[in-house]
Amino acid sequence: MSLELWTLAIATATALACALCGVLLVVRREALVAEGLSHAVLPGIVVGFVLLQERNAPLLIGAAALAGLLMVLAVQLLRRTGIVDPDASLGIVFSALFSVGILVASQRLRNTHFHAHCIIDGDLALAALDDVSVGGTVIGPRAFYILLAVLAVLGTFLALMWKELQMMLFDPGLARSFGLRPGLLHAAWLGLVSLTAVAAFDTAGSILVVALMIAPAAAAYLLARSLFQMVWIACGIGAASAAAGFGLGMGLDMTPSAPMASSAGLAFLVVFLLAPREGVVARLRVRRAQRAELRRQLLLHGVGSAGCAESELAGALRWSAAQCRQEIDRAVASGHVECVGERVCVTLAGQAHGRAYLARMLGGSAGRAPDPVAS
Amino acid sequence: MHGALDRSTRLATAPALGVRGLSVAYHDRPVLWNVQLELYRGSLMAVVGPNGAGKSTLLRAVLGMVPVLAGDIAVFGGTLAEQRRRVAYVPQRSGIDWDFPTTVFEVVRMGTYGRLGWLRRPGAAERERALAALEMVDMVEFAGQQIGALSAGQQQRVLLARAFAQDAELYLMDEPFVGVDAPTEAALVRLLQELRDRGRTLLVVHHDLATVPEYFDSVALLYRRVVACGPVEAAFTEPNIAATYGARRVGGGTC
Repeated sequence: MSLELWTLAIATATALACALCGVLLVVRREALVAEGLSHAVLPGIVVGFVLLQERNAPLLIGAAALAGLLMVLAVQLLRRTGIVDPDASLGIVFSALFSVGILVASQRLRNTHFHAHCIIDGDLALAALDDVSVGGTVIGPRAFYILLAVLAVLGTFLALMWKELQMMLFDPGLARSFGLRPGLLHAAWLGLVSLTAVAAFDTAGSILVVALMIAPAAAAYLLARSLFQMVWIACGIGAASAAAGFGLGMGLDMTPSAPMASSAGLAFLVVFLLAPREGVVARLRVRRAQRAELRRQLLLHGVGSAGCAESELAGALRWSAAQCRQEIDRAVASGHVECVGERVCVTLAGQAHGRAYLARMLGGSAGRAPDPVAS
Repeated sequence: MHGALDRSTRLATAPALGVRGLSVAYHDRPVLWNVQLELYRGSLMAVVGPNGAGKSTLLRAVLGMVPVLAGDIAVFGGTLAEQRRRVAYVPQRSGIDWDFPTTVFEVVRMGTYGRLGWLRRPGAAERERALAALEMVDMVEFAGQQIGALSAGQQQRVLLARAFAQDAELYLMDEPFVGVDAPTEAALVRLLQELRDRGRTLLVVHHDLATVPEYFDSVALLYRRVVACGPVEAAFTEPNIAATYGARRVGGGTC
């Protein structure tokens, strides 16, 4: 396989692993944990590297992931004391840890690949060069196999624990009443997120990994109708971002890490604007329709069953003559009122429309859809 | 041998719920103090009391969701761990994240997960039970809907259906009628009474004093301690209500 294809494969594996982590973080409203973890794993990685002089040993990855997990749990304990503000505790601990990592790296690892830019955004192209061999045969970049293993672990955990995770996320109380330990399950999941952050460190760095975790999942959250759908949509967006980032990186002659994250961000922006139910445009459209309906109802009830003159109506509603004319024209077009000479009259359809609206909005449980039991 | 026999009779005849000397505190503030409560099988009991009386905490303590300072809780004569499958819990609607990406059917099916155990996936039997539970609350047509799109009353019915899908014998319900319109409330009360008539036991945290005699057969008046507990005619008296709610509540009335 060519170097380019390996780069694409690594990018895709990184994006998929990150997207899976992101789904659970976004649903549980703790996206900030991704931010914290990606910083907290740095000292573990750097110290491990100083001690072992090897970058990708499974032992080192495991140790750094564990260190990251412990940091996250420590922050949660710190929050629970109530002494430090939750946001402040995240900011204090993780940034401090990150700076320790940079400090050690700059003192002890001057001549290695631990440059500032690698720490921040990783280097996929570099990772693709680091081949691993089994029994004397080169089988491809080490980073790919590591990420593949992480992906397998994440996938297996999700598949085996699916219903427990669903309960833990949706209603920890129910899980507890079934005798499960949702806190333990959550900690296990955070451990896997930490593992992913460490494994993706070479390919996405500690800043971009956050984008790859959160952006696809946040977009999927706006589109999905179930958690299952959300997982697949997030993976799809992640894979597409990897491919787009790879292409963009080729075109711009740069390592694909940053273009990947930008693509994921762009994908989120598009979904945020255009999602069919939750998107900005859809919401604006709904709100406009609601306002138009409100004006229509005001018009119908302003005219009343007896009908009235147009000028009277404008006065009663404090509408300008032009606005009043416009609303009447619209209501005539929809068949709710008709003009008889100078007078405006509500049609039968208009009367039914007005009554239905009042019953829906003001009768019984205001603002709620009618309950079937009630009928 | 003698001991084993004792135990089996005890399990067969013990009240559905027996709480003795239960005390629970949040930090330094006692929320429940030396609470005694007996809930007989086949009864429909209301738990009433002012805000902060410890009503929800009582349910959560029975379910082992809050640490207990002192006291003993017996479920059908055994420990909660032994009897867990016979107990179902309906949490407050406000404690649920209704933006969660899931459907009505999935939520109700979660009620069956307690019996499934680790690594087992829900199958046709779980599907049947979930649909039957939705049928009970008249929500089958909403099975495929997003939970976020439901009205408050419909959300409440989904939570009840989830508990029914557990097919339990003891139901603990935290304010199941909040946000529900009057006709729906009447339908749900009939449903709870039917369950009681079929031998189930229900403990319901309730906020509307006016409807207690009509809906329930027994009542526990709680303000950190149990002021009174027993059949509605005996326990739900003006002096007891006054003692529970303080002088301002004399004369009954609703929250």
